[in-house]
Amino acid sequence: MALLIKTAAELVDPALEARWTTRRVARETETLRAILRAFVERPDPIVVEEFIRAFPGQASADTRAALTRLDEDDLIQIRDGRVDLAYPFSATPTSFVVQLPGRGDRYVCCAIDALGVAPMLGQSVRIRSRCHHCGEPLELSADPFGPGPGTEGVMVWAGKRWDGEQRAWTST
Amino acid sequence: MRVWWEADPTMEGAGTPVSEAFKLGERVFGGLLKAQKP
Repeated sequence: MALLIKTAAELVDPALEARWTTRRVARETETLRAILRAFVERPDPIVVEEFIRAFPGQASADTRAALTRLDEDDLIQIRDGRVDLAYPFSATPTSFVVQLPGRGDRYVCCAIDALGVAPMLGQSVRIRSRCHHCGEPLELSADPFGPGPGTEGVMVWAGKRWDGEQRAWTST
Repeated sequence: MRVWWEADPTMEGAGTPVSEAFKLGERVFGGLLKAQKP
């Protein structure tokens, strides 16, 4: 068996596509965007009760139910009353760090999530990780239109599972 | 990546250039918060 090298089109997983299509059309979209904006503003977990109070125009039960649905759909993770993960962001340390201009570092869930931040925000970012093979630090830039110069030799490993499992990348 | 993978060829998955991985990230997250102010 040989190492497979695939294009993005070959890697698209119908289940993943369905999940993110659902995300975009779900009635919770504004709730999810508010969570993502909170992670952009600061790296800390979001306290659910504080988040609910920040939506004065919406019944707290509705906001709570929206959060529960997002958690059940694996779009966020709520633990101990806090949102500690909202793809692409993670409040707990991971192997992938994205430096947001003017806002500092944020942990993200995997290499593909890291590369998705620039097009998500419409801003250039810096990404740091380590080669999964040799441990050598990797740093690259990405803007909303693609990865920056000097990334030609960088490869990303996409594991068979796509639902939040980390993906490695290497420089070899 | 090939050397890394050959150490455990039972790993299921595939490698992809970072430019292709970017396309996946863009597909998943592109434009979600584009109105975010810097």
